Parts: sequence; C-alpha cells; structure tokens
Amino acid sequence: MDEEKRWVVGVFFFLFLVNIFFLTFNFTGKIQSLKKIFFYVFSPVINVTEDTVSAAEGISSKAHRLLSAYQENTILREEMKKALHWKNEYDRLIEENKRFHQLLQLKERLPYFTVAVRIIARDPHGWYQTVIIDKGSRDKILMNQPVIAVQNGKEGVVGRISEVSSSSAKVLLLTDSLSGAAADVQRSGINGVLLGRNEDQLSFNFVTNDADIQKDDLLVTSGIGEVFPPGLALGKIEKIVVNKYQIFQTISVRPTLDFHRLHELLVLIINNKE
Amino acid sequence: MKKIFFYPATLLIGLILNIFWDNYFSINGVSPQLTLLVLIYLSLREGPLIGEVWGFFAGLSLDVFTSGPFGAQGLFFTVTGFAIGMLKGKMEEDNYLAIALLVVLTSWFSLISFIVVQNIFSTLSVRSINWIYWIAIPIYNIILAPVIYLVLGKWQDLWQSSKNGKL
Repeated sequence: MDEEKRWVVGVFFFLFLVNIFFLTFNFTGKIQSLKKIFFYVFSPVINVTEDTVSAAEGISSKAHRLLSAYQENTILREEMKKALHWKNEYDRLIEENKRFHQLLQLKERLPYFTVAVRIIARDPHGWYQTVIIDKGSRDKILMNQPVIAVQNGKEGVVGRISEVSSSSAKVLLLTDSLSGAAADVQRSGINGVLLGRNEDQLSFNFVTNDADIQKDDLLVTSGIGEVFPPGLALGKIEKIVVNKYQIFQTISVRPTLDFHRLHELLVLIINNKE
Repeated sequence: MKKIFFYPATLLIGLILNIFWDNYFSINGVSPQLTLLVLIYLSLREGPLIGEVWGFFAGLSLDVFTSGPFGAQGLFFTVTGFAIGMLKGKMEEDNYLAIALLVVLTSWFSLISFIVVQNIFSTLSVRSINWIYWIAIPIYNIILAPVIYLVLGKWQDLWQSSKNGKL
C-alpha cells in the first residue's frame, strides 16, 4: 500500500471512529452540546434562506390573492352593471306601466276605437317636430288620424299622422310649424286656430282683441276641420298681448303635454277617409 | 477565491438545497438525496480522501437537522465517500448507466445503514422501511442526478477557472 492510500485509509478509519464515538456517546451532554453548537452555526443560514423562500412564497401568494381580487372585482363589476341595468329596466318598466295604465284608462273613456303605439324614433335632424311610431297601416292607422297621450294623469293632443307605412307611421307634433288645429277656449267658447312654432310653445291665432280670454284658460279641440274630435285638451294660455293697431291678439299657449317626454301614444281610429 | 473553499461552499449550498427540497418538493414524503448525489459526484471526481472528508462533514451537518443519533449520517456518508472515491479512475464519468447503478446501490445502502444504525445506536428500533422508499428514492435520485452533475460540473469549473485568475 503506497503512502497516499495509507493516508486515505488512515483518515477514513479516523473519521469512521469519530462517527462511532458520536453514535456511542450520542446521549451524553457533550455530544448533544456539540450537536447544538452545529445547529446554532447552521440555523441562521437556514433561517435566512427560509425567510427568503417564505417571502418569495408570500409575494407569490399576495400576487395570487391580488389576481383573485382583481378577477373577483371584474366579475362583481360586471354583475353590478347587470344589476344596475336590471334596476334601470325595472324602473323604466314601472314608469311605462304607469303610463300604459293611464293610457288604458283614457282608452276606456274615449268613445273611439284606439290603437296604442310606442314612439320608436324622433326626427334625427330636429328640423321637424315629428316622431315615428311602431304601428302602421296594418293596424288600421291612416293619414291625419289624431294622436293623443296621457302625462301625469292629464290627457292631451300630440298631433296627427302625417305619413304611414305598413308597420310604422310618422306623427306630426302639434308644435311643428306645419301643424294646426281648430281650438276653443273651454271657459268662454272663443274659437281660433292653434298653430305650431317649432318651439315648445304654440300660438293661438285669429282671436280678436275684444275676445273674452284669460291667462290659464284651457284650449280644447273644437271639432272643426275633420281631424281632431271635439273636447281634446290642447294647452293653456300662457301669455296674451293685445295690439292696439291689429285686429287679433298675440296669444302664447303652453301645450298640455311635454313633447320631450312622450313615450306611448294613442291613435284615434277615426277619419278613415284619407 | 481558492479551490479549497469550493468544498465548504458546495456543502453549504447542497445542505440548504437538501433541506428546502425536503420542505417544498417532496412527493408524498419522498425527496431526492441531494447531498448524497453531490457526494457521489465529488468522490468519483476527486477520489476517496475528498469523498470521505466531505462526506464526514456533510453527514454530520445533516445529523444536526435530524432527530436521529448524531453521527448516523456522518458514518454513512464517510463510508460512502470513501467507497465511491475508491472507484475514481475505474469507471467513466460520463457512463450514465454505471452512475445510475451506483446511485441506486448507494440509495439502498443509505436505507440499510439507517436501519442498522437506528437499531444499534438508537432507542427507536426500525424493523423495515416501506417498500415505496426502496423504489421511489432511487428513482428520484436517478432522475435528478444528471441535472446535479451538470450543475456541479459548471460550478466546479467556475472555481477551477477562478484559480487560473479568470474569475
């Protein structure tokens, strides 16, 4: 056996015996102390590494929680959007139901056959005061039939049918400058012609200066002209200007209905001759 | 950096990896014997002296973190380091089949030595070890061995080159 091998074997036996010594006197205080010393030497390294791994795990866990929260947030937002949509839809249906209820009451009261319609579009240019409804000639709707509505329990004239297709029709509103209706002052029976001005107010024309007319007098259709039946509310007198040098008064009328808030209408199926 | 620091540095890193692999990557309580794989690598490359000395310290270090008798792993690692170191130059380093066989035999030897040492030096007698360990541990070791050897090769080259002033 050469020197190197002897050295190797010698070291081996020495280490072997040291191990046997440790094992034999394993439960003695000195060996246990030695073990503890080694443990104290190594444990900080292990602790630091453990902390690093835990921190990395913590970051991963936090990132996972953050991602989960983000996903949950996204889902909840979507659900909230849906809930809001349904709430809005619910509110809308409640309001629509109220309006239909009022319309139904009016329908039952009127001595005419009526068709309930819904506004599906308004004049996109705003140049004309017209709306488009969802029913047409298939539902017996014809030109010049009067259209009425109910708002806040008050019924009033909306306008007349100005164009008809098979499934839709155009309603010329009372506020349009092409619109006109023969009207009476309900209180005094004074009659005149109510004309649209392409604005929110109407003009009550051909009322002489000496006519008995007051602010807040209600104007109703007179039944003259074959379009509107008599007795339908048109509006109330808002302003009266008497001109000394003219025969007729200048009278502004506030329509009974707010034309910006129209949704459901009633078409009176009369005047079935175009 | 001197080459002599390569061994304690490798011991420290191997030890830390061994402990953390046990904590985080064990499969049903079975984890590879990383320190043993390092010992096999070092013993085959550096011979019995390095094998037994490194094995001695590595084993004792592992003993510090176990509840088993102090010196049990030290004895096993010392014997293994010496025995495998004696094979230096007698088998090709890149003969993976031979190394795999060596890994399997060493893994079984570690289990046998555990039973022997426990029964002789501990109050807790061990009659047998679940057969799963006899199969799973060597397989786990074989799978990991090429990776360990590759990494250790690079790691050792780093120290060798630093000796030549490259690092």
